[in-house]
Amino acid sequence: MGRLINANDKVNDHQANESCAFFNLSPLHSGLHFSAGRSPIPAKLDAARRIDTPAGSPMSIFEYNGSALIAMVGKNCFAIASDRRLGVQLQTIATDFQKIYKVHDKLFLGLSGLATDAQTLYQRLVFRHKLYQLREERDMKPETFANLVSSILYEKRFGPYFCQPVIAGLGDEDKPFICTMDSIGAKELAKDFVVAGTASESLYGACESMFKPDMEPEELFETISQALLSSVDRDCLSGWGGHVYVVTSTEIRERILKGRMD
Amino acid sequence: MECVFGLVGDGFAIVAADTSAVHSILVHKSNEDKIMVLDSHKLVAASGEPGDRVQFTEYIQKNVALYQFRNGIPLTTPAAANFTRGELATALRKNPYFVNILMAGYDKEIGPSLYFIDYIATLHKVDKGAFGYGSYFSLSIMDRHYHSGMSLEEAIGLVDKCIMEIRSRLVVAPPNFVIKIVDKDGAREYAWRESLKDVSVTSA
Repeated sequence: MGRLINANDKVNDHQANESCAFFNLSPLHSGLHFSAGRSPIPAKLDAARRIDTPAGSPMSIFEYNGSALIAMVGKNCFAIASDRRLGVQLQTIATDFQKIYKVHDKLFLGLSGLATDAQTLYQRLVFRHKLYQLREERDMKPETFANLVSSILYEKRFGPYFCQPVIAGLGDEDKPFICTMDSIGAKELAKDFVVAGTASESLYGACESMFKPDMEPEELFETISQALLSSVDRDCLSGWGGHVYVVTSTEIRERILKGRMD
Repeated sequence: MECVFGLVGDGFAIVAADTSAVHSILVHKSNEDKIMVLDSHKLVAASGEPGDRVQFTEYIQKNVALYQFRNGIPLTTPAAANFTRGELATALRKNPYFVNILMAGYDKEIGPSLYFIDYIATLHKVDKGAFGYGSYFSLSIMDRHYHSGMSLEEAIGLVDKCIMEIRSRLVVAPPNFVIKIVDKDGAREYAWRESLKDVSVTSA
């Protein structure tokens, strides 16, 4: 009796910390690779995270599903955008996958990396945020939420969620806040833009050249959309259109983008 | 090798699976039903490690039934899919099940739906989905010929197209398939597509 109720109620809470021996289980990707490479996580942790690809080259587990995420700051507003692909390595499963989640009206969370961990992490964060709302009778400030995400990630220091989150929100007096972190919760704050996902290299370049400070919402939307669409065209694992939110103190504008749908 | 696929049509969802039980180079049997009727209006088509597949789908089936006994109302298809994902996700970092699942169901308020759940517990609602070696062919065929609101005849025609493509292009193609359907009248077996019958042993 206990098994069902407990297992159903809490998703992935307090588990054993065995990391990812399970990737050995699949007959399709047998054999782990122990090589270091570019990765949003420290090299020491990078060891057991590589799996075989059909082409034979080792691929980071962060690149298993493919993703592209950006958040940008404007004048009293922010925008957050993602691609829409859900893939399993090179195979596309769906082109309507949600990577950005609304926490409350002025706070958004984007989760790049392994989709299953993104879903688990999102469920845990929503749960914690609801408890906060009940206890405090108010919404969480973006800074507080970033600290929460960071500590939830660090709880799994030696068997992490393979996700790189992006947090964007409006804080006190509607001051925009954006932040990203690595899979074990090391925060990286920025005044202009943050990027994450398999397309992050191209996103950095695009954002670096397109971003201007203090953009109005309309211009911000145009900029973030162009940055996203031009970047995912140079990445095999992300794309298939985009999803953009532009948030001001009074409204949330959500738009679906069509890009190169191939 | 394993081929499991499914799609959503107008008022129904359909899933098909190969029926081969294979170990290494040996085919043990070719009439193994890999699509479980989870409850009156749900189907679970599973592929993966045979032991895990049977154990896990039965575990889900019994717990969904238990929920219905306790609460007097059945789980909806999204609820059952999320429960299944939760179980897979908890198991993932302890003692993972190697099972990929397509869950099809029909709910009065929602209509037909199909959920894609892979062995690392990625959950996604899809119109069409596939697992295994057959997916390389069936996904392409479905991308080309699928449209929303397909009639039953069209959908069966598409499933047959997929099976034909697998049979003609996949080296390790399985001989037989089972097709099941779920609509407002419930979940049931629809048809078999057999190119090889199990021969009964004649007495010596």
